[in-house]
Amino acid sequence: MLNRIKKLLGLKDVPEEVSPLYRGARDEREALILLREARRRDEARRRRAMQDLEVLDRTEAELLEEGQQEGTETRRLLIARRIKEIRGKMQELNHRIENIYNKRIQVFNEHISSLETVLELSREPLPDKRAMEEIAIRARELLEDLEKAREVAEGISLVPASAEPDEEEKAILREMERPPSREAPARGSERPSEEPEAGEKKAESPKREPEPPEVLFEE
Amino acid sequence: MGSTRLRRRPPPPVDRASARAAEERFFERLASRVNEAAGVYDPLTRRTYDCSARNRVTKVLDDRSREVKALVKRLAERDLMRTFEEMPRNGIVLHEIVHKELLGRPAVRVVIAGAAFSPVEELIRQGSSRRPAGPEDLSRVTSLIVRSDSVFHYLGAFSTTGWDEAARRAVSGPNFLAALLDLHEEAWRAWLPPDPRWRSAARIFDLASDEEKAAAIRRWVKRHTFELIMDEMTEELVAEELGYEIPLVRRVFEAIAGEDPYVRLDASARPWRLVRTYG
Repeated sequence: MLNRIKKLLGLKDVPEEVSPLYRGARDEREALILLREARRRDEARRRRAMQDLEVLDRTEAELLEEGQQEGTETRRLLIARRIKEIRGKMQELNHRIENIYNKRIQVFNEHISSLETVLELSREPLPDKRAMEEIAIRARELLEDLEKAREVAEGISLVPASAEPDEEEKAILREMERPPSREAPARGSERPSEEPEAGEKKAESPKREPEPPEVLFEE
Repeated sequence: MGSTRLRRRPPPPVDRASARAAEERFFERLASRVNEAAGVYDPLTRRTYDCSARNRVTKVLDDRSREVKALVKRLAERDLMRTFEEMPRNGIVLHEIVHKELLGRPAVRVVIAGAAFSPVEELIRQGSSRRPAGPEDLSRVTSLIVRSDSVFHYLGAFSTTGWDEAARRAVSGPNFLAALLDLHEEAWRAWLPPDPRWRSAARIFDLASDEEKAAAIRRWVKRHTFELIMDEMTEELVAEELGYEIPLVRRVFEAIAGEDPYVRLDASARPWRLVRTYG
């Protein structure tokens, strides 16, 4: 139907959004503006109705008080009728607030939230799905190729996996295996970073007797 | 909608200073209206006399002011001078319209009088009052003003605390007519007994301009939301409450309905009324 109208009007580029988003809005942004205005109107109506309810409530309380102080039955009856009218009006207003404004505002809120999401998401365009797929496949293939190449490189490697240490390396390894406590004072000036470690050990055994000098030991 | 009217709330009490200020404003406005008037009708001779300044003599009767002073001396317990300064004076001002025939001496033909009324005793004792003026107060002042049977008197009787309904019985006589004036919800209000003798003199006691009246109607509508919600804001109600003419009330109703999105003018039946609408 829309296409036929387009043809009749000779319009080729009437956007599809003419199909109503909200009150004939042509795009989401326009619909959002219109919806926000509609929500504001309904909120103002609800506020007005609630203020009116307060007025009625106050008057009802005043009349009840007047009725309590009133002596004559006729006057009390008149006041009772008046209160009945006021309560009827209050019921009508409450009904209006609950069944019209609250519900409509809820609907507006939902639609506004959806439109805001759509607009926010469409602000930054996403890449094409097919292109994403192709690139992902290509990336995986390239990674696989790289892995295969690495395996091949390992297979043809001339360097042994674990070479024997030379003499110098062996000496260093022996040095590593030696217990550090006894040699610490001798190399104190060379390796100051080890001092705190020694200090910690001292702190662990404060009552330890001082070791006899090496000369005495030889005797 | 229902026709049961709420009992009217008593007006707020008027204190000495506001009563005094209102009294002064009344005399100023009355003088201004008399100055604006071109002529005044005399029902006794059935002639209209020129009431411009050269044919007018203004007098002040201070009998009642002296009474106020005496009452302050008698009733006030302390700060006598301050109390007296704050007090309204219950003044009386007479604008005598004089006419001179071709032969003979000038003679007073019409008197336009203004008199202020305040519950002096209560104001001295309590500092404020909401007691409206009654027919006795009016009759007493009328007897002070109306001294000659051959002169017609128009009296503007202004009460700072409003008028008792019963005062409407004492507003006319063979050679006098009185308009009951007060300030109701900050609006100048006038009640004139229906009488053909008023003619152009009625305008003298209409103390508010059209703009002030329109503002007063708007204020009244704004303050009486209950009547609006209950569909009882009729042109008759507003006209009765403020003492203004129906066509003016209608005009203001139309303007309000045009401005306020929550108010609609229902002119489908008489009386016209403003009704609440939620759009």
